[in-house]
Parts: sequence; C-alpha cells; structure tokens
Amino acid sequence: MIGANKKNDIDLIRRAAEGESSAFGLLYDKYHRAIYRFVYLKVSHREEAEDITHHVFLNAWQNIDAFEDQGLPITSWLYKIAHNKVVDYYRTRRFTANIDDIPEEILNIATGDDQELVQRRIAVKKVLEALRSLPEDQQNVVMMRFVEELPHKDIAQVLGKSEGTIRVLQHRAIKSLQHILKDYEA
Amino acid sequence: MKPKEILHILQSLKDIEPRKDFSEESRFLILSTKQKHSLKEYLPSRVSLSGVLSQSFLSHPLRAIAFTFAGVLIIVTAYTATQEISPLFLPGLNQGKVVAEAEMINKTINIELDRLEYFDATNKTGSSALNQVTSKQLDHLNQSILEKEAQNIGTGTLSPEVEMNEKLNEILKQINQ
Repeated sequence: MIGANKKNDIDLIRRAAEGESSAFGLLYDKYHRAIYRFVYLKVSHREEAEDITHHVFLNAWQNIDAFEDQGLPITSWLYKIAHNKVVDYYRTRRFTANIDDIPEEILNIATGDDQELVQRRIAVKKVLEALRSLPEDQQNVVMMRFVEELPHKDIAQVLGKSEGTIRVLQHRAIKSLQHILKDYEA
Repeated sequence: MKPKEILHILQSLKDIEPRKDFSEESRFLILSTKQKHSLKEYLPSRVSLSGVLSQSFLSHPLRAIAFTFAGVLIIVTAYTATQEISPLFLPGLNQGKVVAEAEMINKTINIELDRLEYFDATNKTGSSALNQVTSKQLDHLNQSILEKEAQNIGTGTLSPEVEMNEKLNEILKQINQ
C-alpha cells in the first residue's frame, strides 16, 4: 500500500511544502482516519482522540517543509507525531482510558439482538483491555497489522524495525492476547 | 477466547472512524492556518551581495535597467558637482593674481598680530603699575630707597627702653669694677 502510493505521496508533500493547501488536504483525506483510530485505541475517548488527531495534522501541515524524503512513508512521520502527542496527553492530563465508551460502529451486528449486542460489547471491551496491557511496540504492531492491515514491510518502515522483528513482536502479541483472554468465552 | 475470535474483533476495530463533522471542520481549520516557514527558504544557501543582485536582476530585467540608469546618473551628477565647486578647475584663472592676493592677506594678518603683541605688552605694564599702587607691602619698592630708610632709622634717637638698658649696663660694669 505504502510502496504503491509513495511516489504520489512524495509529490503531494512537495506541493504542500510549497504552500499548496489542496495537496495537504488530499494527504489529510487519505490518512486522518488511520491516525484517528491509532490515537483512539490508545486514549479510548472520542473527543480527546479527535483533538489529538487535529493537532497531529496541524503540526504536520505547519512543519511539512521539515519532512525529508529518506525513503520512509509519510505515515511513519504521522504515526511518530501521533505517538508523541499521546505521550504528552497522558503526561499532562493523567487521564485513565474509559473502555466503556465503545464506539457504536464496532458493535454493528446483523441480528440487532440485545443480548448479542451486550455480549459483543463485553468481548470488545475485553480485547481492548488486553490490547492496552501489551507493551507499546506489540500494541503498535497489532494495531497496524490487524486493524490497519498493513503488510510487515510497511510496519517495519513505520516503526523503524526489521521485518523479522515485526514478525516476532506480532507472534508475542498474539500469544499474550490469547493468554490474557484464555478464561473469557465470547 | 480463540485466536480467530480475537482477530475478528481486532479487524472490526477498523470500523472506528472520526465523526464526519469533525473531519470537515478539522480539515478546514488546518488548511486555513499559515505554515511555519524557516528563514532559509527565503535565502540562498550562500548569501552574497552579487548573488542576491544577480538573482534579483535575472528575475526582474526592468529592475536591472533602472539600477544601471540610476548608477550612471549618480556618476554624472558627482562629476558635474566637482567641476562647479573646485576653483582649480575654473577656466581663465590668473594664478599670479591669486598669489598676490594671498600675500596681501598674509601681510594684513602679520600687521594685526604685531598690534596684538603691542596691546598685550601695554596691558602687562599697566597692570604691574596698578599692583604697586594698590599693594600695602613694601616688596615692590626700590631696594635703595629701603636702605636709606633703614639708615635714617638707625641714626635717629633711641627709644627710652633701649636708653634705659644701656645705662643699666654701664652701672653694672662700674659695680663689677
């Protein structure tokens, strides 16, 4: 995904750095949902996630000329900004994640059965709790691999690690999730 | 929970999306914000006057013509002003007359200097005389006058105290004999 769009992204970045706001608008349209999800899964609060996402892209727009093409995708840069913003957020606000605030779109199920909806809500809550209990690099790999469905190569570029390391982290993360959720039957 | 179920729930998290209102509002706000540009963007990598001028002139040829015209105008004005002000460039100037006039001015200055010296000497003499008249001390008087005064005092009658002392001395001498 990143490799195919990389040339186009570089062109958009160059135009945005020259002050062409519409070019940055296209980058925003392309990546703001993924960054929002990444932030939301870390803070578990819709408004806070929106606020952080806004500041991630505002920061990127204001400093787009600082982005240097070193063969890395722009998502790598955006995820790094997002990560720093989340760290700042927890450092300053000491906010505890509220997992009860589960977005309704995840709970969309075909039957509309209330009991099934409750079970689904509990299952999602358990998985989110288990995900947050993982070390940060494992959390990031799980989010990018299974939520964003990025290939190992792209995750390696974004996180600045080798593909082999990403595979190891993914394996450990799944094992840990299984271990944490072994007593829970969905 | 089985791995398949875990992965299924994880994949469903992709449905998480920001509100459409937020996306539109945030996009608008970001794009209406000015970018922070570093100063280096506006400057060439090596700043030099010739570089800046050549870049400026290449992008604006009319500016180059205007600068050239202004330069020529400044040179012509400076040359003309020099010609007008300096007497060395006056045509038909008689140098002999200029030298004679300079000598005349020099003589006049010398006469005035002599007069000033005379006034200075007169002033000194006058002030010295005034000092002698007004001073109560006798330092300023002539030495010969002072000696004559001393002699007159010496030859005059002695004071009664001195005369008494001399007589007493004589009586003492007689008693001792």
